[in-house]
Amino acid sequence: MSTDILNKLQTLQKNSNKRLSPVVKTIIHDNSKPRALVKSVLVANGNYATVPVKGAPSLTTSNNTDVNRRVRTFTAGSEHIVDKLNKDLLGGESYPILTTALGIATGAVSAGAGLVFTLANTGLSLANTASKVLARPGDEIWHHEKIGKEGDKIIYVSAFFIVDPYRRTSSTKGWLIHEEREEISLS
Amino acid sequence: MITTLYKALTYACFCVFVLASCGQEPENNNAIKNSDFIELCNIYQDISKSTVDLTTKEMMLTENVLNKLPTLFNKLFIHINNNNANSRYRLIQEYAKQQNQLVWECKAASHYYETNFK
Repeated sequence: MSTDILNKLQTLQKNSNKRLSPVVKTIIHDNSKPRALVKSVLVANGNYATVPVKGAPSLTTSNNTDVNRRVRTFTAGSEHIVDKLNKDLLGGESYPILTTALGIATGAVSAGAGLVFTLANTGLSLANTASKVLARPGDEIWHHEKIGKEGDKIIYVSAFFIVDPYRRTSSTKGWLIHEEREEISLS
Repeated sequence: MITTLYKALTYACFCVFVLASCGQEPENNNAIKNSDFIELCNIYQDISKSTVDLTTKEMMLTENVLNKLPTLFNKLFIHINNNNANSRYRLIQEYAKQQNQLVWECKAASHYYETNFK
């Protein structure tokens, strides 16, 4: 079963290592349903395992390995939240610019796959294109979840992007601000 | 002969003692204490009294647990916070029972997750 699943999954690109603090992450994720693809389950000795919500066999279907959703819009009145996020973003990190071709603005699942997989088609390297980014009122937060592979390991990726909805047609409109990865347990 | 046998026996006992000592579990100072679960409930009580919006409440909750209960945060809270809100209270109870043999009941936490989320 594990081999069948691995064969169907795409190889992930390198981890961007963009990390926000756990407190700030609560500002940008969906508070009710933070993750759509996986859940944490308590196993032996107080440890947690990350497992697919719909079970291991579901990973052979792309619908269960790729979700892209808008989780927040910074409206008027949310300035204190934007300030908190921006303080974290100013913590010395710079953030890579992504292109419209990756499809995050439309939420297209197939196009969105490029966000965390190979960027060969775009000619864009996450490591080489860096720019300071701050959130502004009106900006959106998009959460892209993906299950892929690194060698023989099945990996869950949770990535958050700031998107400016007024520049959707621009060539640069999405900024990766947070990424985390966990190995998926199938047992 | 008897002296040699006595020495060998003493040495064997010493070795057994050393090996047994090595196999002992070190005292776990990094475990969540029962008192941490009481403090966790206090945090939920304080947050519930607040009249701010849900995002701010969640931020305050996470900040308080991280600052006041760092061990509980790293071993438990960070994981349950990745799960759906309607399962979090049960997950804390599950952990308290498995690791501390504690039946954790906290009306403030239960009410928080029942009323604040869609």
